[in-house]
This record gives sequence, structure tokens and C-alpha cells, in this order.
Amino acid sequence: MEKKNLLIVDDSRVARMVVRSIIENLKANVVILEAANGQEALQAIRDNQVHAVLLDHGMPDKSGLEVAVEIRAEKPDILIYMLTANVQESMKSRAQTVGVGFIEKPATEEKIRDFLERTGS
Amino acid sequence: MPVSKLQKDALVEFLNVAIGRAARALNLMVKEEILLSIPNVDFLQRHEVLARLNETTGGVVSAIQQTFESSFSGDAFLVFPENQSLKLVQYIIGDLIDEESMTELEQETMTEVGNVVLNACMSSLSDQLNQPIQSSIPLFLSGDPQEILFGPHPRQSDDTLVMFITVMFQMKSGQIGGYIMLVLDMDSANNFLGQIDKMLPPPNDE
Repeated sequence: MEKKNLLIVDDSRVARMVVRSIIENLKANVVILEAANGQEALQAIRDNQVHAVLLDHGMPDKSGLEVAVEIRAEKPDILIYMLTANVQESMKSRAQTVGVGFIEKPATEEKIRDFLERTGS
Repeated sequence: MPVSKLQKDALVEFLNVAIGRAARALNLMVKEEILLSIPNVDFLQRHEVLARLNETTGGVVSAIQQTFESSFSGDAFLVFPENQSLKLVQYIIGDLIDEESMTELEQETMTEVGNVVLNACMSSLSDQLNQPIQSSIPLFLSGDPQEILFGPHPRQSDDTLVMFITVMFQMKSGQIGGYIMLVLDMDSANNFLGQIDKMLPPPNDE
């Protein structure tokens, strides 16, 4: 089965390391790409055939939701999940409005496994 | 500042729920039960806050600070005695990196821990008060408590009154402990209590 490209977007290198480690431990059939901000994320989806994105919200250049809207506009088929510490109901509701899923930080094996199942990986 | 018994009771209850959510987030990261103290709410002059912080942490601290804004605003801090931060890094990413990289990643790890824990706390307050809260990007600070709490060039004098909320937390093994602290100026404290008043049942006139 062809490996799917999964993009992790987070300004925290540690947060990206933790998610990567969980995915690797789960032996998911994915290629992991990383971006440290919104601009890099948009470049990554233009340069690669990305199937799914895990997206932090609180980043210095653009918020995760802003990035999600831009990804949607360019590549509407990509599965996008916010992975954020901002777990306010108002935030979840805005994510829903934009049409993206929501995972509360911290990332755990269980949460990432559920996400991977949704990507079909 | 006069705070009724009912207001204080409600405030502590709201904080208990919020800190519980923060502890749950930390618990998921360190994979160990987190013990919590009851939230302590005081109205103190700034020099008293510093004395309290020096007393509880023994001086030099590592902290992650986030400014929050809503109908009330202030600063939230996750504070550790300085010698504990590397231990925490070991718990969070010790399996992923070698010992040399641990120091290099100390600040980033602490910042992410603060981001998750403080946001969990503020998100819970937001949900309970039905008030969206904007939080800044977390900032890692280390050193003298005065600079950490009030900045290197404070504009206000030492006798300025602030609302000071502290909760002590500790891993069950006793390995790591620290404090969650919220500092609000008096205008914000009034607005914060006003929001809590709105959530209370109407007074019984009988």
C-alpha cells in the first residue's frame, strides 16, 4: 500500500518531536513532513502530495485556523485536524465552522491512533 | 477589595475545575498522577507577592508566561524552582533524545509544557465563564522572580495591589512540583469577579 504524506505543523520543535515519535511507535504507514509555521506549511502542501495535516493553532506568523482556511482553498481534499492547547469551546466551534477536526494537546498515542485511522493509514 | 464569601467560594470552585484540567494535561505528558493544592486567592501588594514567591520557590525560578485577554486580562505563569526544569524535560522527551540535547531543548520543552498546561487552565475558565480568552504565545523566563512576574523595568510601584492566585502542584512521586499563578491588576480582578457574579444564582430575598 502506498505511504501517505502526513504534515505536522507546529512552531514548537518539541511538540513536533513528540507527535513524530508517537506516529513512529504506532508504525503507521505514513511519510512524516514537518513545518514550523504557516508559510512553511503552505509551501509543503504545494511541493508534496499531502494527505493529512496536524495543525497547531497558536503560531507566530499565522494562526492555525488561518492556515487551515488557506489550505482548504488550495487543496480542499486534504484532511485537516487542529492539534492545539487552546481547547476552548469557542475554538472548537470555529474549527468546526472551517470544517477541520480537533484534537486537544497534549498528543497521546490514543488520540493520534484515532487520527491515523481517519486518514486510512 | 471586598469579596463576599459566596464570590470567593465560587472563584475557588471555578479555579478548581480549571486547574484540574491543567493537571490532567500535565498528567498526560508525564504519565503520572498530579496532586493539587486548593487555589489560594489573595489581594497583595507587589512586594508581598515577591516575598511569597521567594518563600515558596527558594529564589531563582524557571517560568513560562502567557498574557491573557478577555473582559479581564492578566498574566498566567507556570513556575518551577530552577533545578526542576531539566527533570521535567527528562520526563517529557527523555526517551527521544540523548543527554547532551536535553539542555539544548530545555527551553523549548518547558515552553511547550507551559503552552499546554496554561492553555488548558485558561480554556476551562473561558468555557465556564462563557467568555472567549485570547492568549499570547508562551514565553520562557528564568531568573529573579521580580523580573519574571513584573518585567525588568516595572512601571508600577511595589505597593500596587494585585489579585494573586496560586495553586501548588506536585507529581505523586514527589519528583517535580511547581505552581500555577495568575496575576491580575485590580480593574481586571473586578471584571473577573463580575463575570463570576453573572454565573451565580440570584440572591434569595426571603
